[in-house]
Amino acid sequence: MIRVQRNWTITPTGNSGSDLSKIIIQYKDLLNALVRRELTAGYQQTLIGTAWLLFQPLLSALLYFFVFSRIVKVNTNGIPPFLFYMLGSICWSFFSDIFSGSMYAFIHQAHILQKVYFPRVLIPIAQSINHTIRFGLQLVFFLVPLFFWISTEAGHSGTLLLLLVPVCLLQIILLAMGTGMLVSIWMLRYRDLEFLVQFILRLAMFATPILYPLSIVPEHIQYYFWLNPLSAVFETLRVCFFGKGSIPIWPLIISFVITILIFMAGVRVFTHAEKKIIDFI
Amino acid sequence: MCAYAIKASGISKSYFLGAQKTYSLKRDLQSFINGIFNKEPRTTVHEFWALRDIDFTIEQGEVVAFVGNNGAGKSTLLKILSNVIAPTTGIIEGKGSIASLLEVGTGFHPELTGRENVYLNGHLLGMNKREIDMQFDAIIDFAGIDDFIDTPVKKYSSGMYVRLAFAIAAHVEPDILIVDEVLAVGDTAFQQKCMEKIKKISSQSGRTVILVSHNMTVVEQLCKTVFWLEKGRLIEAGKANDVITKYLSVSHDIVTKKTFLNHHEAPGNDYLRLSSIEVETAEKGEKLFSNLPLAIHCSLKRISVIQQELRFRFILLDAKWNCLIDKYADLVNASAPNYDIDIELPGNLFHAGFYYIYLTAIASDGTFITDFGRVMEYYLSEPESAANIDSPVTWGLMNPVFSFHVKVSPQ
Repeated sequence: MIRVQRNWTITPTGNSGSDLSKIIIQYKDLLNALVRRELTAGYQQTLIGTAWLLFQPLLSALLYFFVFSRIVKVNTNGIPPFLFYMLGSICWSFFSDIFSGSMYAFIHQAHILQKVYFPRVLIPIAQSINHTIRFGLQLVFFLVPLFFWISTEAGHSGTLLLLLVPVCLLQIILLAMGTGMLVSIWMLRYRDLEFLVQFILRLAMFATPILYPLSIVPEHIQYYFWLNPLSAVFETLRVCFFGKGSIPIWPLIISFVITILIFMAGVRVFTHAEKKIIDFI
Repeated sequence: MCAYAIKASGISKSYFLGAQKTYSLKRDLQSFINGIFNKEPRTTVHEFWALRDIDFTIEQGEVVAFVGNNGAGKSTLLKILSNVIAPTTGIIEGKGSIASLLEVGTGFHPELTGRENVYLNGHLLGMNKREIDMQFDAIIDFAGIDDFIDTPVKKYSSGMYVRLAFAIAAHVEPDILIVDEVLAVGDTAFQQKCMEKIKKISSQSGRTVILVSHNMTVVEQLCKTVFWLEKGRLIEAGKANDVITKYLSVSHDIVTKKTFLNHHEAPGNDYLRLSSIEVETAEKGEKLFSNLPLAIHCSLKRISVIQQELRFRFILLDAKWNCLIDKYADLVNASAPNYDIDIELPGNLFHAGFYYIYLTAIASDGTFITDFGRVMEYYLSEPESAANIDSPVTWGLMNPVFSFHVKVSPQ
């Protein structure tokens, strides 16, 4: 049997490179298996199984609805409050799930990483794919009442805006992966970071216009909100789905640029540290 | 043909032990502030070299083993070869695909079915989907679990789990296979299957196999070349037989005679103590050959008076803790101050390998008098004529000479 001789070298600084497309193509079978593993294993042995996937955002949306709409009486600018909170809740958990999945890439998969080699970046990628699939199901669950509302409401300013949705979702994925990968490396060196990051994540949910529209924030503070790349994403998503308000064009462009930079930094830091960092697990 | 499969030069690996093994923000800030004020850091960093300047070349198609005591750096070296951890210095050049079995069943998820786990684990070991598809039936067959392949592995018995995990490992077909002590799993029959598989892999398809094992019998049977690591350094490399004999004689303090002058260090207790023990074969020399009768001489001293008659119990274990012999001597009078035990085991009784002698003294009413523990260890070598690397793997505990003829008749 004649095999193609692949030559390789192992050096102190060696890594798998940061060309993601090359890695994904070369390891597509493994990536596929890792995603399946996460998907299958997720809700096994729970009473209602995968239904939790739909119940979770529904229950949080209900909670937010009662607290923010009924008690605090937040003005949602003509958007049905329940749909407003449902969208916020599924999109936020989309972000935070990918973020956590990337952040704990090394810690949760330590037993595998210490035994076999593959480009470590496959783990955050697999996590992102896994959560994107879950999010897709939740989105469908959200779209049904949304279209029902649109059909009864004449106020929707056009479906063309829906084309911006994939861009926003891509931004959520890249931002969550980028920040998550940065944190995952630092966290192994400084374990204290884990608690700080958990706290910041909770804080970020309130610092981003998810549970309230940005319009109720006093104008002179609004500028600070735009510093958070997620603000533009969530505002835009609402405009796209509900057709109320206008797209914050400049903040969205700036947020997109920041997202790309963070993602590239994340991939670079992650792939450069992936071999050395195993010593710290 | 002398093409190398792996060529390593100057491999070292250091770890920081003690204070800075895991970093903390507080400590780093502290050392940063100390740095500003030119203070000596309060934390002490202790550098530990797990490997130091290792050079070796492994030829294509060779089966080699790394031996050494625990902590010698064998596993670290395998991890570096597997690309799991990075060396601190040095470079390794290799040719061909590589798969490492540092454990069996890496990535197995209890909720997934056997089939799903075969694919997941296979991919982790570097097989692509087509390769697994081709091998799938062979894997299931090897593991012997066809009925359970679509059952989640959490429902498997531990034996089935290990068999499936190993079956996948055995069907990975890289150019270079790295195996870490995984032979120590499963029952004996299954182990034998695995040994045969490794032999076949290397002999038929010219693949390179790198093993780490504590089982010298296995190493001796499988490998041509052995590397001996000690405290992170490569101290001996060469023909399997030579290195193993040297390694065993040093690492296990192999002596054929032990004498205890100081009572307090001798095995035993306040009733009886060992004063000397010796193993020898008729043919005096450095090695004890397995085909020759083996004589064991043992002298004991009585320290305090024992009221009853007593009998001695002799136990012989092999390197895998199989009890080969457990035998009682006749009752003897306990009033004498000295005892001499002579045991003679026939030749051609056991295979080459490691053996441990345990000794106990028991009173006539069954009460324990003295447990001497392991009093001696010795290594039986294959007789020179039979030391043939191509001899098939055997798992028999005994090796008697008996008639075993196969008659071949035409038609």
